[in-house]
Parts: sequence; structure tokens; C-alpha cells
Amino acid sequence: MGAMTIREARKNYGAVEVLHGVSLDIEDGEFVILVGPSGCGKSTLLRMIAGLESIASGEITIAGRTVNGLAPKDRDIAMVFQNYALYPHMTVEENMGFSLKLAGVPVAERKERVAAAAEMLGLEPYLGRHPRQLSGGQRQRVAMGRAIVRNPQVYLFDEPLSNLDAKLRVQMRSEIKLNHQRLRTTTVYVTHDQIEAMTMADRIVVMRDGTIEQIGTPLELYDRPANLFVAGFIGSPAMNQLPGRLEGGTFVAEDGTCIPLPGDVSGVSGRDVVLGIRPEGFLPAMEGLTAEVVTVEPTGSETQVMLRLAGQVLTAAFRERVTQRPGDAITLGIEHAHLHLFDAATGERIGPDL
Amino acid sequence: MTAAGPSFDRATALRTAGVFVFTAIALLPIGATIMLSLRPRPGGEPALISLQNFRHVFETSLVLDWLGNSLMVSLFTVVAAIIVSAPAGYVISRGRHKVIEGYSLLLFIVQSLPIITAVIPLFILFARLGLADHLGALVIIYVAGSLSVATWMMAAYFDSIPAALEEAAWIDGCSVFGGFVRIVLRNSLPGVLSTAIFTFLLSWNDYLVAIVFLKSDDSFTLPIGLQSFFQQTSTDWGAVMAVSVITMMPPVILFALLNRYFSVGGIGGSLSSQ
Repeated sequence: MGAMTIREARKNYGAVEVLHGVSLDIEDGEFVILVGPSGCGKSTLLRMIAGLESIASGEITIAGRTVNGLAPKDRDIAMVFQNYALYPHMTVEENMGFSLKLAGVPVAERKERVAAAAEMLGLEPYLGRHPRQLSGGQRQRVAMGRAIVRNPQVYLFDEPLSNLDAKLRVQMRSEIKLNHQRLRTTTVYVTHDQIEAMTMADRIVVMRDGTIEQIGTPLELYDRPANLFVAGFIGSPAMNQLPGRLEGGTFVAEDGTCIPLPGDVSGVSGRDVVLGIRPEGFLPAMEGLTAEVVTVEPTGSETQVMLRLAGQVLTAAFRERVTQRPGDAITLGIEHAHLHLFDAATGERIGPDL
Repeated sequence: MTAAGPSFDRATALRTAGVFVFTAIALLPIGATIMLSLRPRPGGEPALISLQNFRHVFETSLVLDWLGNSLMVSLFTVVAAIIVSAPAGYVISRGRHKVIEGYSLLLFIVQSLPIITAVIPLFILFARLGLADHLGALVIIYVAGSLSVATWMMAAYFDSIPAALEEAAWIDGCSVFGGFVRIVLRNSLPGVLSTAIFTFLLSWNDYLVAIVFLKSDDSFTLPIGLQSFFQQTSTDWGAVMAVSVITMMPPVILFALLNRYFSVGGIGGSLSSQ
């Protein structure tokens, strides 16, 4: 039904190519999040799906139909914009019913469908109001309601939460996820916030400089980042990255600190590598590596500690309370599941798994 | 009260006084015109305020025809100018193509050329087309003459309407033109009114083009009709002032009626940041 394929999609502005042949298959009902730093081409790709940007080459199909040449209105999609883009002269009800009105849906059915969507989003008391009489969160809901009412093949979201305050953002995040679980409509969602991506997506597409770096479920990206960029982008606090060499089964940092590695890495011995350690991979231990505590930041549920180790300042996140003070020594173990090896030159992940 | 209070008050008072002075200077000729128009005519019944001048011009001249002509010409000019300049301004506001940018620059150059330089050739052309002494000729010239600035004014207003609004409309099922009319133009009332008032005043106040094209009494517009009271040896100042007041009334009434629409409208509430 609402499956989507993107084949070798390219886009250029004048001589500058901003998307370099992106391919992606999205299953019916899937919630896919495009994530990446600003300028990576994620919004451009979304707008190409919507029909708001032309497709220089390649093909996009929605529900088995090639949409390259189709106007936005003929693609059976709905979109929620970053700034909501509500029609200022229409009430909430008119905003939500506008697409149905254009489609010639009879008034009675229109009212019914708007009411159903309004009930789902808790907007019933506001149907008669104009957008300027609503709060930010309510406007956001109206923008979603406008999309839901249409019952389209695909929902497109362009950074819909970036204008909300932190608390509301968390709330709307769960609402969007809940709505998706209820409606099971294919969704493509763009954000630069990796937490949003991790918490909401069925699959995440990490983009950089107009190419896809990795596609996978949130935990796949977290557990097996394909390269240093994804490793650094997914996860908060970010993964620590230690440059050094592999000698036998041991990682030797630039200052000579040795970190023994599990698993068989003899095949790649002698290479310059980057060792990635998730902050939550450090464990307080009786014996192991010794590091110096730089700062201690308790958040209650966990404690973040900045450490000086192997000549670098690294971040560790402990579930346990930390009694050491800045300047003290701390002895650490490393959980092997949180260790990752990357080629220093290419940044690509090196197998085997540790 | 803070220490800065009194000096702030003095500054406000000075500013207010300044505004009053400048307003008074600006209004002086208008006030004089109105007062003179209300003087009794020579040989008429003496009175402090009298409508004798108005009665005289209504009885002895075609001032009602001129008023009708002026209104007609201005109305058609405004409607035609808006119908053309609104879509053109939209294209200039949204278009990113080289041709559009070039066209927009061309408009800018064209608007700096005074229309009067083209009036004589236009007269010859229009005379051959049978449009000399015809109000239609004025409408055509006023529309053409105001179009470059009107288009720029509309484009400048459309720049303030976020493109996401029409994009949302396209996705909701509008064509490009539908999105423009139903969403963009619908929310551009202040811009449309500014442009309308600009073209209205341009056509309402024009003298130079009208004096070239209009020959017969009954086709005069008000500025030309007013001119007919200036005789070679004498001028009926009372009548001149009365016709001047009649000429001033429609724009004043128009401004008074439309004033409040300038402050409403716009895109309040449609965006997250407002």
C-alpha cells in the first residue's frame, strides 16, 4: 500500500550537487527518520518526496506509482512543516478540513472526519479558533490534525518539534509515536536531533553531505555503527574516539596506554585505528585502567564523569554513584559490547566484532 | 519614578510638539482651501460660512461628470493594475530563475522613466486607434505607468508571506494558481490595499497625461476640469477652491474607510514563532 522506494535520487542547485544518488526502500507502515547535521540533504530529500523540489535524476515511487512528474496534490501525501504553516485566515476546523474541501468531500463527512481527528489530538475545544489564538503545542497538533484528516499513503514530517520547548517536545514525541502505532501509516520524518530519531524510528537513515551513511534500526546504529560519523552522531553523550594502533590483540593509544581487546583482531594487527568507547561502556572496577577524574556531573539516575585517559579527556557515564572528586584516580573496566574499532584513514568500521 | 523619568517625559513632550508643528504646516494649505471654498461668492448673501461656491460650480459646470469620469478612470485603473500586478509580483517574489530576476530588474529600470516622455508618441498612436479624447486611453496609460511600482509593491508584500503556506496548500490539493489565490493573496490584504491606494492616487491626481488626451468638456477628469476655471484674465477663486475640495474628498474618504485594514490581516498565528 504505502510503500515507497527511492532510486538513485539526485538533486543539484546550479552546479552544486546536494544529493549524490540516494537510494532507500521504505516498507508500508514503517516510521523512517532521516537524521543528520544541517546541510546534509535530509530536508531536500523530504521535499523531493513531497514534490516541492524537482528530482534531477533518479526515481521516487509511492505505493508502486512513480511520482517524479506529479504535482504535490497528486501524490497522496500529507506534510507537517517545521513552522506548521497553518492558514491564518481559517479556523482550526477549516484548516483541518481544507484538503477535504478541495477534494470535494461532502460537508457532513468532512465534519465527521475533522471531528474524529480533533478527538484523537484533543483539539475539540479549539475547533472554532484561529491559529493566532493557539499556543505553540496546539498549533503543532493542528498541523498534525491537518495531515491525519486526509488519511494519506505517506506522512512527511519536516523537523516538526524543533520550535517547541524541551518539555513539550518530549510530550509531542510520544504523541506522534502513539499516533503512528494507531494509524500505521508510512511516515518519513526529518530531524537533526538524534534522540528524536532513536526514540521514534523503526529505522533511521543517517545522512551526511548528500549521501546516506547508514540505514538501520535505532539499536543497530547504536550497537554497530558503520563508521566514525555514525558512531559520533548516534548516542548521547557521544562515543569517545581514541586514535592509536593495533598491536596483536592490544590497542595502543598514542601515548602508549595499552587497552587489551577481546576477540580475534590479529588479522588487522599493525593498522592505525580509532577505538570507539561508549561512555556507558566504562565500569568502576577493582583493577584495570587507571584514569584521572576531571569533572563529576551527577544527574541522579546516572553520573557523567570526564576522565583523563591515554592523554585525552573522555566521557564516562556510570549507573553507580561516584565518590571520587576531581583530581582523584579512578580504576575502570570496559564493557566489551561498547567497544568499536574503526579504520583511522577511512573511518569505516573494522570487523570482527569485539 | 526613576531618575530618568522626567527627562524621558520632556523628550516625549518635545516629540509630540514637533509632530503637531509639522502636521499644522502640512495641513495649512488644505485648511486654507477648505476655508476659502466656504466663503460667500462676490455679490452673494454675506455670511461667515456659505455653500454658495459649491452651488455655483454644480449649477454652471460639469463637475459631477468630471467626478464620475475621475472615479471611473481610477476604479478601472486600480482593478486592472491589481489583477496584473498581483500575479506578476508573486512570480517575482517566488521565482528564482535568471529570466525572472532579469525581468524584475527591467521593471526597476522602467519605473524610473517618467511617463511624460512617452505621452506625445502615445497620443499619436492612440489618435490613430480612435482613443484620443477617450477615458480608456487614460486607463491604459495609468495601468502601464503604475505597473512596475505596483508589481514591486506586491512582490515585497508576498516576500513576507512564508512559502510554507502555499506549499501546505499545494499538498492539501491546490494548484499553483489556486494556492496563490486561496492562501497567499487571501492573506495579503494590506499589500493589496497599499498597491490599490498607490495606483488610485496616481490616476486620481494625474494632470499631465489627461491634459494631452482629453479635449471635450464632458470627458474631463477633475484636475482638468479644475483647470478650466483659470481664465486668461480672471480666475474664479471661490469656484476653484470648491472644485479642489470636491477633488480632495474621495481620497480622504477612501483612506478613512480603509485605514483599519492596514493594521489587520497578515499571517499572525500561522507560524510557530508568532
